Amino acid sequence: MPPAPPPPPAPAPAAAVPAPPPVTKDRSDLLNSIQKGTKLKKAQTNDRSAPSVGGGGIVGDASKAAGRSSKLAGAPPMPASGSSGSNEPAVPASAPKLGGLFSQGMPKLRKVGKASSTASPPQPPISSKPMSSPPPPPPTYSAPPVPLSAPSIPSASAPRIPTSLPQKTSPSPSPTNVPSSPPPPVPSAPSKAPPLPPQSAPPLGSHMPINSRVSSGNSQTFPPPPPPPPPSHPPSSPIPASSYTLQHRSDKVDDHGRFHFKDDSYLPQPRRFRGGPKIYRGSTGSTVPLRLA
Amino acid sequence: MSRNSANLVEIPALVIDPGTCSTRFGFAGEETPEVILPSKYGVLQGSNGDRKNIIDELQIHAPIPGMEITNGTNDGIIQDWESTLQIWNKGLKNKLKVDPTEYAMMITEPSWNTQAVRQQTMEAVFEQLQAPAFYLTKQAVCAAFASNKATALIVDLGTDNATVTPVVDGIAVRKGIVKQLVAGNFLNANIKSLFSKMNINAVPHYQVARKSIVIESSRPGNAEEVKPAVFYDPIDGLTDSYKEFKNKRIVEEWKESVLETLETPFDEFKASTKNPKHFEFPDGSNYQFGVDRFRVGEILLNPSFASNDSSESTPPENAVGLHNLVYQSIVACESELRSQLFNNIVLTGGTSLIPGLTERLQGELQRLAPGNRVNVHTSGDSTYRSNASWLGGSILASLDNFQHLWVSKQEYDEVGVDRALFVEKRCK
Repeated sequence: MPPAPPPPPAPAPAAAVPAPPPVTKDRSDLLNSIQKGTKLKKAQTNDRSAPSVGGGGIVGDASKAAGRSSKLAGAPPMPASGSSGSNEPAVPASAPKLGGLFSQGMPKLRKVGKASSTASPPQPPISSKPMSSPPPPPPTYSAPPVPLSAPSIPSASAPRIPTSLPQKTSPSPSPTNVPSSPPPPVPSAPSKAPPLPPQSAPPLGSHMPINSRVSSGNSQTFPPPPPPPPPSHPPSSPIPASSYTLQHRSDKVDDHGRFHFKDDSYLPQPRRFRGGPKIYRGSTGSTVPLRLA
Repeated sequence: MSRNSANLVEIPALVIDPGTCSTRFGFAGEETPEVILPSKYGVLQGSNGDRKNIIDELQIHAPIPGMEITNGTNDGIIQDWESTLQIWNKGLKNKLKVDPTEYAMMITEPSWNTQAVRQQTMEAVFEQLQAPAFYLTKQAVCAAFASNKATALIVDLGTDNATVTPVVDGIAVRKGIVKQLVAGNFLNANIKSLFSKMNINAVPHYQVARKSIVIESSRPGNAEEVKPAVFYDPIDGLTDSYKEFKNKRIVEEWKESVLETLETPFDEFKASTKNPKHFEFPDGSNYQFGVDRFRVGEILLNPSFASNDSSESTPPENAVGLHNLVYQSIVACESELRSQLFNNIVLTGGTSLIPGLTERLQGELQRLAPGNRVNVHTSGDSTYRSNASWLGGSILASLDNFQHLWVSKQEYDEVGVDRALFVEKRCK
């Protein structure tokens, strides 16, 4: 697309424009120290410029403001504590109206597969890597997946229930029961789990106002608000370990039709075992076999 | 001026960042300004005919008959010094509780500031505030410093103006500065058009005594009871500027919570697949906004989406999409700088917080300049974004390498009357 018509003229000062100074040593020192960055003290900001959503007043530290805004999607500059000094009718304009659904407070949801006797910790060991320094209360990614949430329900954010991204197929925290067999057949292998969550994952779609996918200065990663839980199929009983095989998958595990597994017969046959001393190739690609005997 | 530097390093510094919408005050070396005051003020005609400025940030919201709401700053440039100094005094003495005679003052100015106003700023600081030291920086340069860059292209989406300023080695490149009046206020006018198109009568807050309440019935299946809103009796004599001020508040809340931009060029179908957002007006009425909120969000990138039904909501002549504006600015600079500028685009200003805008801008710019690596940086935090120029001033004023650059009272006295060029020379 060709560039648009010539720019509207910027109002120029009356006097001649002074030429920019040659970059002297002083100046380059200054610029270097700017690029290095400097540590600034935290300050409490008292923003009285406008009564914003929820009433004007004191915003805490900048980091707290960020944490707060991550919970309430779509309202970036969200002042923290109440209306000190603001005398407007206090109801925030965009408070979600759930018709009293949560009037008794956030309901306590039961854990998936809670009857499991191995007191497995709510965090499955194959969970995604722990977030190193999460902003103040984020929904954690290590919660077991699908759709009922477990331990950490952030109390303030109402209908949001954290789900973990790659683990949609494995149903319960009892992968600890599975000793040597591979972890539940999640097609996106668990090794992929760690790198995925910190990037705000595209498939979940995001309404986050502060979306730091484009390289951002503070690179705070906010977990995107997951979609509301699908009309749920609560597993009725703990699922036995034997079901963690390809054969039994289809009738026990709910995978939302997302993954299409083939029969075992499609896998290539393994090599025939021959036995006897093994002859290894030499290093650096040489075909002369080593004699280690 | 090293002979003064020994004294000046000991003096702490304040940073004042005046803008069209709000003025920020704070201490140099801190992360955020401690006080933010509105730049608007009220004017009341006294009984004996004299006009009084009402600087109180709470009182300007009260429905007082005859009180006009005006602004001493227009287009980012300070026009009325009497009210501006009143606001500064309020911010410094009342809110920050400092004595200006003990602090060095770092003041920010827009890149297109006039020489006359520069001189007036210096005079105001030395003579009215009686500060011991002073410096003037450009807001665009400060925004670059706030991202730790000495060379960057600053795209500032503010209240009145969207401006693009190339900053090279800490100096604003004059010939690359472009601006257009498609920014916060323009969006406000279009949002108002949207409301009237949807037949929404947005009753402002001061008229609502109680919102309408929906009471759920005790038994499901029964209709809910809706208690209508209760309004105050209308007050005579409220000025138009006041009413405009109050209506703007509703529009701005809508803007902050509902407005969004698609990450790809506007497409009716795509917009309809996104979740609608609902918004509650001050009188309790609720509306859902689906495709329309993306339509309004498209205006910054494509001014032809404006509603054109009033003079305020019609885009100015020559208005272009934001990405085109950025492109114009870059090609006005020398070719050796261009790739560095493309790679270091900093988006700042309150209006830039619209969700989806950053990604959209990046995508559109990459398409306009496929050979270059385009990188749009934004501060992740909303407070940093709207206070970026204050923050840059804070950084600059707290650097050791800067301290010898302050203009001291002594120098100011020595210069005498020939101040205009002095400011040009010393405060780059």
